Amino acid sequence: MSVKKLVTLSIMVAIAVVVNIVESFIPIVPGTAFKIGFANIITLIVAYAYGPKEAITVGLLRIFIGGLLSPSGFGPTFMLSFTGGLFSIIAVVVLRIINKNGLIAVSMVSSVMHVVGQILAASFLLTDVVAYYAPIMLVLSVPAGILTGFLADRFLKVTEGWFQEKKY
Amino acid sequence: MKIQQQKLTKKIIIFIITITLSVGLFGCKDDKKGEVSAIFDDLMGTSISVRLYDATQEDIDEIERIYALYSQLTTNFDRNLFDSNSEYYDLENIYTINLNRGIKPVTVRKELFDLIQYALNLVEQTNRYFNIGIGKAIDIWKEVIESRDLYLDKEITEAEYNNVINNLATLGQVDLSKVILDENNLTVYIEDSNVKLDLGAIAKGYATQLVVDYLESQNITDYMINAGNSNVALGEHPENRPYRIGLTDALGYYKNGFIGIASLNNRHIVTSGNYEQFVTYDGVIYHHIISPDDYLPKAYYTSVILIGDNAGLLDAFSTAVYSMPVELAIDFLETNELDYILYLQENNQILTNLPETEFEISEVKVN
Amino acid sequence: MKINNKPQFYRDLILISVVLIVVFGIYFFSLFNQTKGEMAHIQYDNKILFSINLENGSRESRTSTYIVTSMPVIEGDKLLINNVIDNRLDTGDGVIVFENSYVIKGRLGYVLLEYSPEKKMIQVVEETSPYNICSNQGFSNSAPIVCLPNYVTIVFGDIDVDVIM
Repeated sequence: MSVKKLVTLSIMVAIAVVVNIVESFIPIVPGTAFKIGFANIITLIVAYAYGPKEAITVGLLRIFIGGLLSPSGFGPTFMLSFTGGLFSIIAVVVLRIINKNGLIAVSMVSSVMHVVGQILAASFLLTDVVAYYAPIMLVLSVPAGILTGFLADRFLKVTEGWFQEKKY
Repeated sequence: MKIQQQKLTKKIIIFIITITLSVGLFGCKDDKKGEVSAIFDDLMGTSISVRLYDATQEDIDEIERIYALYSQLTTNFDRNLFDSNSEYYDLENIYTINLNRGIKPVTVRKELFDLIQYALNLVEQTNRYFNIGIGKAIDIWKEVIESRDLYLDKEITEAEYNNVINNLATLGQVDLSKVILDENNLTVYIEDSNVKLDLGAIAKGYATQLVVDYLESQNITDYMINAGNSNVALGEHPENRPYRIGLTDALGYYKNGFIGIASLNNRHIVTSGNYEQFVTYDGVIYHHIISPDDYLPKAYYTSVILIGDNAGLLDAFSTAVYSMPVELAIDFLETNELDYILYLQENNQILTNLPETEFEISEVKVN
Repeated sequence: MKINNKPQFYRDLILISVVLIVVFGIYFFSLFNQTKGEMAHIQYDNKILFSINLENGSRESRTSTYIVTSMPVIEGDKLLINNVIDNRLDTGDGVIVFENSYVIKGRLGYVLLEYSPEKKMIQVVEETSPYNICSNQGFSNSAPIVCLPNYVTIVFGDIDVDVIM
């Protein structure tokens, strides 16, 4: 892999981590850790500017480094963000590989899958009381996904040509 | 490129499946060991649910055996109507004893003999407010009450009411000395055909007591037996807390549909009420618990709830108390050292001698 | 690798529609299953420690209960009552009661919650956690209060009975 790609991807990871941490301090739905998921924009950008392998790498790195740096570390809540993040990254990667859908739709699906992953993890590992919040979180993840997808899409349109390996 | 894509896709799919499976296995929580339960739908004329913690299927089978036996022994129906596959199909029972009134003694199994003897003792103890010989009067009321079984409207006609009253008038007082028990031969002979045995008011409780005796002999401490929602036997609760029993408020006068919630362990609780088997006539409720004195149901209570250590005794006593005026009832219960909850018809008052830790009275609905 | 946009538009539409139907289906289904509670059950690791009757504030405890005479104060990882350190609570075991305030010990630290007789609701006042999500939630009498890192949850249910007679 070229130096430019390595550096670019590293910067992507860093940005994703920072965004992740900043987001965690902004409550959106009281009683839950629901986030808009701006960090997912990075995953989407990498998936469509480079490819699925790169997206997985950047995504997983973001989750782990974000976990290391977050105040609660690798405690019980980490499992939630890990599973949620994993589900959403897998959704992006799988849909990217199949390559039959546009970025915004993919973003919406991955946003919903993030919530699904979080709720499933919480239900099995901690308490299934969180199922109460599942419907509202699922509903909100739809516009959130559309927003982040739209932003990623805009970014890629504006920066067409920057990423040499693959064209959008 | 395509092969690489396929490989990657495959890996991802396997990954997802692995995670799903492991999370799934993780989520499977272990159920309590040795919890067995059963519901018997056609024994003792009602639905009996049994829940045992730390017991085996054999214990359930034994409990079923006890209820099946006493169901057959105490029924007033021709045993030929019973399931001929039942091991107790052939037994002489209350029906056969009644059939042979004024004719001849009937030899019965010791279990039935003991039960009748026990019941006769309770008749004495309750000053005949509990009376096992008023079967003819019970039948007269049963006929009209069951005729309304499937109807929401329980009102009977003037003709039906008069019919009941006239039929009751032809009955004399019941003389239980005409019931002759021979302990050596285990026979029961009713000399006077005016006396008809009916054990409905004690059979369920008596059988339940035997079930509890069995459980205690097997060192099974955590259990709940619910016979028809009117007879409940409670052991310990596996979560180390009292059982919470919601007591129905048939009148809807109190909040949440309960007159209160009892918190109990290791006791029996028996209820009698006027709101399940009854008919109405001219604004009055005629229910199935009739006073042995005048063969008419009394209107002192909506519910009588007794708590104590012997299910058979409680069953009989709750029937007896239902026909007693309030002061007499309280006197009787205190003398017999029983705990009670009385839901009076007068002002819908609730009287109890249970402490607040064992019985929480509901608040009155404000509307 | 430009894809012909027309068929992709339709595939997108299908995908989006499916997701919307599922998500909003779940949402509307949930609207019919609201549990409004008369009882609040305070749980640690899904086991009920104690319950509060929202109607009258009466408490039903299934764990060791310590009634104190002044408001407990959480300072960091210590619990102070009348300026004296209190160590009686174990994680997930025991509750300290002062009037309508209750303190239990969660996985990360002490959790202080209170019942409001005027509102007939419960709220978590203070707890030890990185984001303080559950103490920011405010009062509730139907939406569960989840303090995830502390393994503490407050659920609302009907008056709970084992059998109805």
